[in-house]
Amino acid sequence: MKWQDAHITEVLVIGAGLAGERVAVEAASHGHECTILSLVPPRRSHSTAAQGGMQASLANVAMGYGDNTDLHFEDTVKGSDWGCEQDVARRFVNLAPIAVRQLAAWGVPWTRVKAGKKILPDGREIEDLPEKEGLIAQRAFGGTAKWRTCYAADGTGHVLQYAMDSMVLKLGVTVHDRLEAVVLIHDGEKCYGAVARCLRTGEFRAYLAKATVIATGGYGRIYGTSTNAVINEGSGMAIALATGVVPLGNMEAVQFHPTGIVPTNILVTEGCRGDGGFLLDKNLHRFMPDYEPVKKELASRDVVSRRMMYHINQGFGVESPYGPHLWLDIRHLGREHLCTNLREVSTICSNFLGIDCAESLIPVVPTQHYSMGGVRTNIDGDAYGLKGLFAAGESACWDMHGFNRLGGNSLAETLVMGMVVGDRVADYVKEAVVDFPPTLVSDFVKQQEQRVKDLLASKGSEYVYDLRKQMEETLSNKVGIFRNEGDLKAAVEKLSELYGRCQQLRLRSNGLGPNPEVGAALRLPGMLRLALCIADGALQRTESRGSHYREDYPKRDDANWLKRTLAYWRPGAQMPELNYEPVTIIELPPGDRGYGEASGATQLGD
Amino acid sequence: MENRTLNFSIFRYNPATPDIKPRMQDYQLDETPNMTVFIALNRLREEQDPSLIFDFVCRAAICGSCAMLINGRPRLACKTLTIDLPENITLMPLPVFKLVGDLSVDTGVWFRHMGMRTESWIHADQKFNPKAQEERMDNPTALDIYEAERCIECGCCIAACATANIREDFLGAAGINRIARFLIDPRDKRTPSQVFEVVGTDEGVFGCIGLMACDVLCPMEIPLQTQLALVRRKMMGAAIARR
Amino acid sequence: MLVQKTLTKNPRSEAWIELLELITGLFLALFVQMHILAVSNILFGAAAFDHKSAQMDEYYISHVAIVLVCAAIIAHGILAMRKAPWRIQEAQIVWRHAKLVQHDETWYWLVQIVTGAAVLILATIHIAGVLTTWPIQAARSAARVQSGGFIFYLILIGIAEIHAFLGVYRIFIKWGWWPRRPIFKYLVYTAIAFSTLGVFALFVFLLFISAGGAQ
Ligand SMILES: Cc1cc2nc3c(=O)[nH]c(=O)nc-3n(C[C@H](O)[C@H](O)[C@H](O)COP(=O)(O)OP(=O)(O)OC[C@H]3O[C@@H](n4cnc5c(N)ncnc54)[C@H](O)[C@@H]3O)c2cc1C
Ligand code: HEM
Ligand code: HEM
Ligand code: SF4
Ligand code: F3S
Ligand code: FES
Repeated sequence: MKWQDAHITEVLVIGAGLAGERVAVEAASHGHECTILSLVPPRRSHSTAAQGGMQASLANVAMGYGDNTDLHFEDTVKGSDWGCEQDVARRFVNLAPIAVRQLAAWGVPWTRVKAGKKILPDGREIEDLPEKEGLIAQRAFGGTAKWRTCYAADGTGHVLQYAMDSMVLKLGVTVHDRLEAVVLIHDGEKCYGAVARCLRTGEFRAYLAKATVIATGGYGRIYGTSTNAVINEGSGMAIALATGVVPLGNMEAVQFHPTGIVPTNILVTEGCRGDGGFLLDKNLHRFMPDYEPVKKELASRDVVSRRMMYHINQGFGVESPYGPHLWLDIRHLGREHLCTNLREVSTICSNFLGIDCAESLIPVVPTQHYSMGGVRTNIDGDAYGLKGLFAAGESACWDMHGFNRLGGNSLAETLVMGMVVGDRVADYVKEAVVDFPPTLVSDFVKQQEQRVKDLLASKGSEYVYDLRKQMEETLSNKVGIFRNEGDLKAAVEKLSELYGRCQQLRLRSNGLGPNPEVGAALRLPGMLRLALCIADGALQRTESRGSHYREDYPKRDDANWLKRTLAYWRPGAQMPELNYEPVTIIELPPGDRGYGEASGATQLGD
Repeated sequence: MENRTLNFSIFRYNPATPDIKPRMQDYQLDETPNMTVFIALNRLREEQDPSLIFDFVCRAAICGSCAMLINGRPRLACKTLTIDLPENITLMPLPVFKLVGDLSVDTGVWFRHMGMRTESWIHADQKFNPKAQEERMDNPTALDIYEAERCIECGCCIAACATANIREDFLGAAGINRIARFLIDPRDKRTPSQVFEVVGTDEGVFGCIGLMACDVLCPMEIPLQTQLALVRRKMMGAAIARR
Repeated sequence: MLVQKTLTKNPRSEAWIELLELITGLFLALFVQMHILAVSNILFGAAAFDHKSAQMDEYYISHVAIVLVCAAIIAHGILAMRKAPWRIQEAQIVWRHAKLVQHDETWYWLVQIVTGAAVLILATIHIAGVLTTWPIQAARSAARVQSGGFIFYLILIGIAEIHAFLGVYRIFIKWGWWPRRPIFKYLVYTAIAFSTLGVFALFVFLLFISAGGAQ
């Protein structure tokens, strides 16, 4: 490709999930020309999978009366185990209600308040007042003082994404799908856009822009077993890291969910346990009371995950071709309850397991769920290190989640941060001048074309899916829920070895056209770099905070570790370089989180 | 469970090698418990043939990426359990949509075009006021809209419809359902006669001849018959009213 | 925007055509059932049959009906057939598709196209036959039935009923007035009832009415 054939636009958004589309809509409504790149058509982005809902302190329902932005702020900071940026969290909670209402105007069919008396499952009676009838309804989520989670039946993420995408259609934003950004075009100071691989033809094309925004979602798939979509491979974070000047923040902060089903790791809600489900081992023994005599299965999300993994490691897991797992038993809740209150769960069981959960046990295992870490940005969304580069959504570390994200806060983040970053980008492109250095652009394109040529000609011996599987297993087994020095050291070692070996990849297929093996091979080095950032960050952080749990350092250590990890990957390096920066604390000094163990938030919902 | 060996017969075509004509290729795979076509295809790719092209995103029947003809019928591969299929499984890409390669088709572009044709966005008459409380809506209306909005744009209803197979510009059940979604939304200020131009034609709702394959095969179980009939009646009403 | 399409487009025309298809289809379906009832008058004997026939002629009911029905058949044939897969390739696609998706209602449509075409031919022959031996009298009809018309009418009853019942079913589906599963059942019952009645009448013509007067 010649550089003259590049697609030129004012704002290039990489990623068409909620965050990416929200940025584009904001920038486009300021009159700027936007182009969105996405691996898949926007409406297939993983944001559609969120079923739970999004947080905003509207105080519309009985159990939410009295709610306000201060309470939301407090919950968010506590949830983060004081790892978040408090100025960011403050800005976020103030804007969340506007974001929700704006989405209502854009077509989201939010579930609405029905006035009248209701009885809660625990027997309490509440009353929704007539003056609130028809406003946006809210439900309970873990780790929140009030009912604050706005939802649309059982498909919040879906309807949000569809409404966002309808605005993208309306505003005429250009969307190029089946295009994967593979490298950022930059000169060490300024970002000029990206080179993308067309997944229809396998060809490379340059996209040049005044502002480039990374909104590529999470990286769950480097763990192999993840509740994330199979396209969530972290390539956006990887290309930012590959610049050598943009750091990733807090990559060791990885959230796990106790109940992903085996084998497909689809999430079943915590409501199963909330409503009285048990966890059983291979002897059909209910083991949680042995570890947590008081809270049993209802201990916080990360505690349960930890206990489950421990129990499996003790040899009590049920063997299966997909690795050991445990059982979730909800049979005793009764068919009626399962078909009404837990309907999604029984559909998932019949669709993906072919079982009737009123009669059979559900195979589950703790599963990677969310990445708090990502491309480190300031409060406006400017990425550290490169001018003209921004980030938003799960791929960003704006840092309102710190070491643990609250359920419902990430959908809200994608929309609020999208709005903030879109606004900032609009201002930025107004000032920015266009000056694309042509040789730089064609060099970047040629480099990528060369990579493919090298792959096709390679005499190496490594097979991409082999290495990938080993990476996934290393992360899952050694950088999972329980972390300790020995495992983490072993993980770093293994991952480094794999990183070396991935230079020796050799294709088994012809590699032509939209060949998926080439895509996987091009992606693998970046994924391994992310894996190393996670493992090394976790190894260095000798404390437990939020979802990061060190068996050898089980306490939070504010004296030494009230700081954020910044991982850089210098050109040619074999390991990340870890730096640290202080955490911004403006309102709420570190204290007790108020829900049990120092590092655990109870989260119901998603 | 007895151990079966599954015989897959899979449609192969890579547009980058046009001289190799479209063909069916056979693979064998041992079945494992709870195996879905998603798991099977990924194993085939990783263990036997890394050139296999297919699409999965959510693997949870949410995103609509993975529709294909499984033994002839359009279905979501991710939620099709192999145990429900015979030993011989034929996989073909969806018809109507442009072929990307092997089992992958371009549903995205088709639906984007449909979204533009139906102007799938709220046509409001007022600007959003960030300071105001949200406009009220009664919950049953919200649920009705949600019911139509559940469509995941998988394309099963389009591929299943004989009319859509022979009439390239037919909006299809998904497109007409999309119109229904906006017709019942009080926030959208378009009147039936305003949408008439788009759907009151043989490319729109009058192109539907009531074959109902869409209704039967929609994986989201959207009541497409009801939605199609609703739009048909509204459009006929608009045609008569305009006289 | 395409100039040729924009200049010729009358947005309402396709709606009207749809409405006309609905009306002609319903009218014909109703006619066929009424027609079978009328012919079944033979069960009450040749005299009753002839009397009714003469009565209808007297008030020109027959004449009006004949004109209406012929017009309806032509209009309906043109309108309903406009969506059939006319081009060879289309027909091949539809045929392949129907075999692939194994879906009953898609087959029904093909059945409907074929029966529609058959009705067009057979009904034309039939009407021509009746009109050339005008007026309608039991003896003449019996002559026709006994000289080979029996099989002809058996086939015509069958395909006309199948076509009419599938057509009415399709109308219910398309306009969505009632849930379709029960409707399908009731329509099948109705079709069987009328076919049986028609076959009875045919037997009466074949076995009990003396032919004569036709030639
Ligand atoms: C099962 C599940 C349930 C959840 N439930 C909830 C919930 O109830 N409430 C809540 O608040 N949060 C929930 N979350 C979290 C939340 O859904 C996500 O964090 C959020 O949707 C992420 O949005 P995003 O826009 O950042 O990324 P995504 O929606 O993942 O979008 C990423 C986009 O980037 C594109 N992309 C990626 N890489 C590239 C590349 N290299 N080039 C071009 N494009 C690229 C993709 O195509 C995609 O369009 C849930 C998450 C999961 C997994
Ligand atoms: C007495 C005879 C006939 C009766 C009772 C009859 C009845 C019907 C009815 C009720 C319909 C449904 C109409 C609709 O969907 O709106 C229909 C459809 C159809 N008819 Fe007939 N019809 C008759 C004759 C014919 C003839 C002569 C032809 C062909 C030339 C024909 C071809 C068709 C076709 C192809 C359809 C399907 C149209 C569609 O679904 O769009 N019919 N018929
Ligand atoms: C409009 C003009 C029509 C006239 C005047 C007419 C008249 C008659 C007469 C007189 C008979 C008795 C048998 C005979 O004389 O051969 C008959 C029988 C029959 N006609 Fe017609 N017909 C007309 C149209 C149609 C059409 C359009 C159809 C079908 C689509 C049809 C289907 C039949 C059938 C099935 C029988 C046998 C009925 C039975 O056994 O009960 N006719 N018709
Ligand atoms: S209507 Fe149903 S079948 Fe059609 S695209 Fe939507 S979800 Fe798929
Ligand atoms: S299958 Fe096709 S013809 Fe109509 S009822 Fe469904 S769109
Ligand atoms: S992969 Fe998303 S619907 Fe099948």
